Amino acid sequence: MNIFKPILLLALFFLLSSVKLLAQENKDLDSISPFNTAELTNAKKHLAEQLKFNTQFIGLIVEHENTLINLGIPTGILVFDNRIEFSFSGQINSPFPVININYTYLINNRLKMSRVESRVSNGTVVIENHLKIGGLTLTINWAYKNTLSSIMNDLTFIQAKLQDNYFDMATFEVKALKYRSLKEKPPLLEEQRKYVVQANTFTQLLNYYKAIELYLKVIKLNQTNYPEAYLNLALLSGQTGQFYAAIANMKKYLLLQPSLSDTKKEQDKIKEWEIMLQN
Amino acid sequence: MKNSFKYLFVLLTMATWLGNQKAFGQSAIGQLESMTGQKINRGSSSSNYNYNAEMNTMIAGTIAQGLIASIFGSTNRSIQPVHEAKTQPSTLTTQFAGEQQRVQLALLLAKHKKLMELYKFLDGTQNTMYKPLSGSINYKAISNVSAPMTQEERERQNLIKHGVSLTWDFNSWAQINENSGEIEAANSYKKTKADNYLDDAINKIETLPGGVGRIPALAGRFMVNIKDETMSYLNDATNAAVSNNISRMEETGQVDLGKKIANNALIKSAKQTVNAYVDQGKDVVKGFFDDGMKETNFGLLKSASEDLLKSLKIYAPTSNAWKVGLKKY
Repeated sequence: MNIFKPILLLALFFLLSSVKLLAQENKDLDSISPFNTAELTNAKKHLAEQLKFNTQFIGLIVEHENTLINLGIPTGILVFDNRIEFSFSGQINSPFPVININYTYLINNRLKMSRVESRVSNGTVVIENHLKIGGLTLTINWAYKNTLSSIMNDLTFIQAKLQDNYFDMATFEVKALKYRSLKEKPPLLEEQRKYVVQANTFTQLLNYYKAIELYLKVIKLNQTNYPEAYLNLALLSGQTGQFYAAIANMKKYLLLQPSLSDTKKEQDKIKEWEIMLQN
Repeated sequence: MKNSFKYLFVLLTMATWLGNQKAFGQSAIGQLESMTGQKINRGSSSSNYNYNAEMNTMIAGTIAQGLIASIFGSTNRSIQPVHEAKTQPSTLTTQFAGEQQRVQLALLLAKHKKLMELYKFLDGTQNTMYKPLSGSINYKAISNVSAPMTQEERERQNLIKHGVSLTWDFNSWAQINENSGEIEAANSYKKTKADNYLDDAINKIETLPGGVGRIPALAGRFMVNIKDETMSYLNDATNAAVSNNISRMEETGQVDLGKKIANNALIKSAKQTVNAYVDQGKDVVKGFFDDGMKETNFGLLKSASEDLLKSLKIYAPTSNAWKVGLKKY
């Protein structure tokens, strides 16, 4: 009996480990919850307080079909587990009654603060602070700029956690190490090959988003047997302005192919995208 | 004999009516003012026959604008730009938007080229673009010299061959002498059944007893000629545009189409009216002269009337301002 107990415990340990790894293996964007850690929960709470206290001062501008639409100040702001909801239902003729900012939107869209001066019809100059999140812009009067800075800090923190979770570089490094140690590399699956050919065709047709979609299917089937998928994903992401994804995918490619003699161009691309994020 | 001179005098007066506002109660210009709702400031011309060119141009242009506005379905009696003049700024806007699109496309292609420098294809699938069929299809480049004539170009060549001078040639502007005052032969379009009906109606109106139809008939002819000038202008422009098989054309400079159309329409209307009166006069005096003498006298009368119209300068010579050069892309 005493012999079996440690064996049983060991088996249980491995079983639980494999379940956790499987869960990570099959995770996708939708299953990410930003609030599964204490740090994220605190950030969420702080963000909710900021938004609730300053509802009447925060405005929203959305980019829709290459046009900027100023929706003005919402009638209400609600913070949920996976999103922030701006309600304009009380406004007459509002084109969008509700705008949702999902937290996953933060993963590939940078946050940028700026000061904007504009002249209104009576000649007065209005100064505002703008916080741009991809195609959405939060606005606040210059007098309350500290509030928007605080909101940006919360969102930046949440963004960093989400990106860590989504790109999961730590786990990938382990897999890359395992792949590099293999003497015989695993072949490309037939289904993967089909997706790659289709993706390359879409790239040549300048349909980059469709190509990205197909390459994500390739790496979902097997994360390491086709390193070039990460290279092409990185280049396509950079082409579409998703610089966080571009940097992460290029780093993954370099992790899988460190033996290549010349990776200077790929490293230069990472630097180029980092500069794009700062400007 | 006495009666024949009386009729001759009447005919001469009618031929010169354009110079005399007070000839038949309300003048033609007055009637046209009523029809279009436009009021013309006629200034203080000391002589009933000596309109200066500027005045007539202004009058003709204003009336033309009003008539064209009504022809094209507008119920707004206020002065509106001529239809073609409206489309000219839109041509320039389209060209500017086209230029922007070209720049954006060039940028996109440059970025794509940069992407392809690092992009990796599957081994053996690098050239996944189309392979030509073995040996059977060869694409021929189209050369400007040997390309077959398009249908539009054929039509254009036919028009020139039949001696109709185009008012819009994409290589050069209208063949008109600035000082001649003559209208250029318009590329007249095919009259429809409705147009022929209108012509018949105008002729009928003109023959109403008591001469009451003469002024309305002249006004009707003026409107028809405005319409025809407009239509022929559009036809010329279309023919010229489609016959240029390279690209769009660019129009520069100022074009006062109202003046051009109105001037041409006025002189044409006057000529037609003179001819109509002469023809009617012939019927009236038939039997008084033998045919030979009748033709000679009326020939003289017709020629004299036309010369009188020219000397009155009721039309304004077209200036260089509206002669614009067109350049191909």
